[in-house]
Amino acid sequence: MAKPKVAFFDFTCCEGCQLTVLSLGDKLLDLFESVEVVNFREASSYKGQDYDIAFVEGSIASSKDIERIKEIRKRAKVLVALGACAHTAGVNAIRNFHNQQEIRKMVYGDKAWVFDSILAQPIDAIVRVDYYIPECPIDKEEFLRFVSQLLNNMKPFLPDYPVCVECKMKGNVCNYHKPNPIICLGPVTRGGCGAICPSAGNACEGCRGLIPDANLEAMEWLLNEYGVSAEDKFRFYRMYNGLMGMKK
Amino acid sequence: MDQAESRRGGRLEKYLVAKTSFLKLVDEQIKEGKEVVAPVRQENQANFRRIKSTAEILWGGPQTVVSAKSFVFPPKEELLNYETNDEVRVQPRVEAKPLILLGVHSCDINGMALLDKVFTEKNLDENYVKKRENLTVIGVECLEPCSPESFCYRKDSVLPWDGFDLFLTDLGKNFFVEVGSAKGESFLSGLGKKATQADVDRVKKIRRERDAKFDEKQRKLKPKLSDLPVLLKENYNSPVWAERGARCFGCGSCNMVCPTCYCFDVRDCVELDLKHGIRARWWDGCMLTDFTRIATGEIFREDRGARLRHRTYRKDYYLFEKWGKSFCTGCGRCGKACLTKVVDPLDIANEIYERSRSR
Repeated sequence: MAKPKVAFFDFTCCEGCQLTVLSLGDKLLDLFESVEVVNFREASSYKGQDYDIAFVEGSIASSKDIERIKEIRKRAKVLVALGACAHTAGVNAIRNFHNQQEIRKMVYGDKAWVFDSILAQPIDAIVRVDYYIPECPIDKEEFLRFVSQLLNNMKPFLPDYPVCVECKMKGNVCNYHKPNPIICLGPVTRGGCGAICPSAGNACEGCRGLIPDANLEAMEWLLNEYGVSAEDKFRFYRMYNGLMGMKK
Repeated sequence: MDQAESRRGGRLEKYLVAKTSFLKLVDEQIKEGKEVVAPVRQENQANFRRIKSTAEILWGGPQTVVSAKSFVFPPKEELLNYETNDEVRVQPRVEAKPLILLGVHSCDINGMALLDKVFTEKNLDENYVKKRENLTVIGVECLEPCSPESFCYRKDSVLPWDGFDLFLTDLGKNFFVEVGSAKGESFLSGLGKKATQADVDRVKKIRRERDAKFDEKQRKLKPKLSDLPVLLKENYNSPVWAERGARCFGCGSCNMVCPTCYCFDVRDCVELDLKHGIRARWWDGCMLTDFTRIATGEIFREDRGARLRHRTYRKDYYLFEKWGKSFCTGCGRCGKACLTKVVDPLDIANEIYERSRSR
């Protein structure tokens, strides 16, 4: 069986997800054994345009991006959204909630006219996406598991349970039960990260997107119970989920 | 405790052991390299951790975040590994090593006693059994309610009715030690002296006072405990389920922290070479979407209220009837973990009881 050809592409993002793949260590060599990587900007200057699986990170944030993602979709048999920016538009979508003229000026100054920047969108706003690997940045283990399952013709496993499940498995004291409660999006955010942020004493900010049936009414009740202002609620959701990224 | 005695068809041996010598015995075991796990302070709560000295133990603190079940039924457990080269090789994996679990509260001991039924009586679960056999359970009697959420007294679970090797009651300078098994007897290595009738009477008095205190301090269960299965059965269509379901996250926290929830998901993890892999099981829970979804994608219990009903039914109806014991030991963990305050089994039973009476 010929090795499947794999390409990585980046749109508007920090390319941290590609770097995560690059930091797999020995497992990276295993990956190169099982697939042929033809396009991987963070690792090689070679740019092949013949590929089976396209991993796409980053958000759509300019009109040029739209044409480019359509072209990738045409060539790829399987298109995978890699990381929060591709999955939910991630932090890029924060801009969507500001005055576009002002935000362009803030970022590009008097050269704003040079850039055709548009509202930030997830990849699937433009093209069909076959699979999602969420998180900011992606989780190494999840990426490896995904590739193995895909190559093995298994349905890739993506949990629909929230962060609370793994947080409890780890035996953490709930963020809401600490002497100084930490407002946490764990109950509505897709698990699979091993509750990495709550385990380190931080809030879950929702970088894996919302679970498919997130109970936002319950979340609203909870945030009110803890006296979170409307403005803070918006800010909190908009960190990663301004577009309410829910993917079945 | 009388139940534990009758279950074993005889009286349990009882000893009076100086606390200092008992703790010294444990500390010596730790020094010899034995693994001892006990509740310790974790932030403003408690959790089971491996201890280096008995000085770390949190006696009588709040219930641990996660129950003691994780030592017989861990959150993730490898079941087998496999290799698919020219021929397929499958290697079952049963991991178990001796472990002393010290300072376990009655709710968790009874939780394990219930799991013992589930994992041994009909379907023998090798992984569970091996871990259980390697476990020495040393319980400790709660003389004060551990938290505002607990209601063990209402669930006949303030004392263990099975499942311990030793059970300690604090008598100031001494522990009153009840032996639940030969393993417990040998652990004690001849420490202390046989309890006298006066000692036994003293403990009985302490327990009467404790019962009165728990009866006063713990939240009341309005229906009779033995009536719960019928009460729930008759209230399948109660509006309580939908009302509470509306505010339920379906987050599964109640399942994860429960000492008797035993559902799990089995998944295969294949290596990149596509030749090696493992099969493992993870805790799963009836409140989660993943749990109710079947292979073709249908979700059997889409509605969170229906899931909440199912969970409550499991604890106080289906399994209660099947095994003759409520599968809720009143530890109060789920009520504490539930951020929107919908899951507490005592609250639910009381609400249904009140509303069915006022109809």
